[in-house]
Amino acid sequence: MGTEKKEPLLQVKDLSIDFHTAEGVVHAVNHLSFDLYPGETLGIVGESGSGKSVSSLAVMRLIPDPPGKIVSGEILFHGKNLLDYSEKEMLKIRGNLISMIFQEPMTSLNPILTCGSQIAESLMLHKGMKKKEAMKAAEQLMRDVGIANAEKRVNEYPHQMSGGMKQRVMIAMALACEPEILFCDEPTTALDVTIQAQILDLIKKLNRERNTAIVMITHDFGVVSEICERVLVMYTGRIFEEAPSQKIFKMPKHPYTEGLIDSIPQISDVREALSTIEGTVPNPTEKLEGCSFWPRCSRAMDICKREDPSVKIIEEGRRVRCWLYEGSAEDTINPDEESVE
Amino acid sequence: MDRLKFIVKRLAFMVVMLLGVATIVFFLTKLVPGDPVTANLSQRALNDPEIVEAYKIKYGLDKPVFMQYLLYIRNLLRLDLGTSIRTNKTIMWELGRCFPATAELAIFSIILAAVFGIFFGIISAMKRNSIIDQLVRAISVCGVSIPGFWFALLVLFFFYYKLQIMPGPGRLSTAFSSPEAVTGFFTIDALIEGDIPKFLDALKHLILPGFVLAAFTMGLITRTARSNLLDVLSTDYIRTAKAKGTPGRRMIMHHALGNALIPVLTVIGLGFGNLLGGMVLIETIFNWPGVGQFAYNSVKALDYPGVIGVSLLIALNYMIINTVVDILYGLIDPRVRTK
Repeated sequence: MGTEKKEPLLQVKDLSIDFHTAEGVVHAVNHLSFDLYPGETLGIVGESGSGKSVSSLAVMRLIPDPPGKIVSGEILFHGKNLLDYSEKEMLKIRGNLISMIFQEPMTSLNPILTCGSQIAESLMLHKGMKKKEAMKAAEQLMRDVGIANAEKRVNEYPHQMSGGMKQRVMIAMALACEPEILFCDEPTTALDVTIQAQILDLIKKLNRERNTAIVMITHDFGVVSEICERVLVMYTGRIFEEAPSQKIFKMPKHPYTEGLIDSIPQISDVREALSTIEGTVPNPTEKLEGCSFWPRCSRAMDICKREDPSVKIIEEGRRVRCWLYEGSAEDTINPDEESVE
Repeated sequence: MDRLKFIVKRLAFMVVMLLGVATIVFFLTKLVPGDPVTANLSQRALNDPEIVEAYKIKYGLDKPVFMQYLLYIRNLLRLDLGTSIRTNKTIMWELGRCFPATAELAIFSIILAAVFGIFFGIISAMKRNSIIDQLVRAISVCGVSIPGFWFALLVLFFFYYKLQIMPGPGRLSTAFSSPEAVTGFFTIDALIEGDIPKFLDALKHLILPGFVLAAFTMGLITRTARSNLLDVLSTDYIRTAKAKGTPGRRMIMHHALGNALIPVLTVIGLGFGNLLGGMVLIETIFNWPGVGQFAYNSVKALDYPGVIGVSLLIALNYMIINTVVDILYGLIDPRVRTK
């Protein structure tokens, strides 16, 4: 399931998203570009506010407008720009070709509808199934995602299920129409550790068996190491580093990635305090000179405070946005021109 | 079994509540300065001590207040609400006469209020901040804040006096005689008689007072429906439904409305209880022989059996409505059902 020489399924090109808030304009996503290949598992990692969830919502065209607005870029799905699609055309994509599961299984299911009918709805909407047929299929899907007693649970309501079960229902719902891409927005964050592992196993299994491309959005490098073949590290709405996941653990290039990986607690650790990255994500309404990470960077240089680094490809499949690699780069792509204000 | 226990508990609670209402209202009417005797007898009769004495004995007013109370409660437990000091008819008969008039009007206007309120609420939430939304919000604020008696005069002036497209006050035009009382609802009784023109006339008479009474409740329902729908539309499960590809109308009707209606039901219930209690001013303006008029006349005459009777009726209405609302909650929300 490599990424070699296939046509990308999804290409995000130069995507910028602004949010107009009372405090000012927030540039949530800045000139984001990445590709996703069929059957691939891609991780998007970053702290809260790095723009990772917003990017995935943008692909589904689910950004609430107002306040959000896609200001530039293209989202090519099978070569066609989703941003040109009408709302009606998008309805045929959502939940059918591209699906999404969310962080909060507790609140992501409608409390007054049965779990089965919520799964069946996708099938009725996209596959033209009748209610009865769709409920039968929903029952099978619940079995597929490992829900015991599916024939009974199909008629149960969300409040009668545990968090892990609800997330399984969410997954069954997202997979009902066998989508080509599944966005998982922190699918395990709200769950117990044991349940987390089960859900990740399930997602891995589905990726293998159905060849669904997975985009795993998370702040947790543990989850990334568990499932992802390739990783994007995002900060302040930009990609800071992209690499195959084995490589990034062995040798992170960007100081921010290093910091993130360092702050995963290890059992073998004898350190007294957990390692952290100093400071917090900058206030998104404030415009920062230079690289957006320099105030927190242990290796910040003078140039970092003045100029924003561009993205350098440092080897096949690896790119990094940092002045440390200036000059060592083979090529410079996508020179990042910040929107002129 | 649990359900039976629930019903028994609820009924027992109702009885206690009603006794409490009777007690409080009884003593309140006694605390009011004034004397039912002077309120009800003419000046000439009042000058004759024998008449006054006979009157007092007839209605038990000669006994100490506490004895009067015990007697009243004893009769109440036998479902005997006593006799009106004012009209000399039993309270049961009086309520049986005026309650259907009020109930017919109340049901008519709560249906108007609920249908239009929910409809406006949905439109307003879907087209948030549009001109339609602003307009609906302006209408609902007007509905809540316009004084009913003034609004009543206004609609009578325009639709009855100026445009002459609506009938004036009363339950029926003088051309018709009251239908034989089966339900006490003129519209239904006219239908039972098979008299369609009479039915239409009774229905027309409901429109203006029904609309005036509905305005306030409709305003409340619109606002509650709008704000709850907006809350629901920003929830995670609506986002899930969107991610599933659910189209807009299905989103509202299938996913959002049920959740948003739960608080709206409470408002409808309260509004209905309010209407069933009778609206003195509106009933007076539209010459509607309902509970409001009876309550007003009873208070004026210090007719304590009448006042307590009306109070019990209103309390009972609220209890029944609340029970119905609770049952409806359960129908809509499975989380309530399992509790």
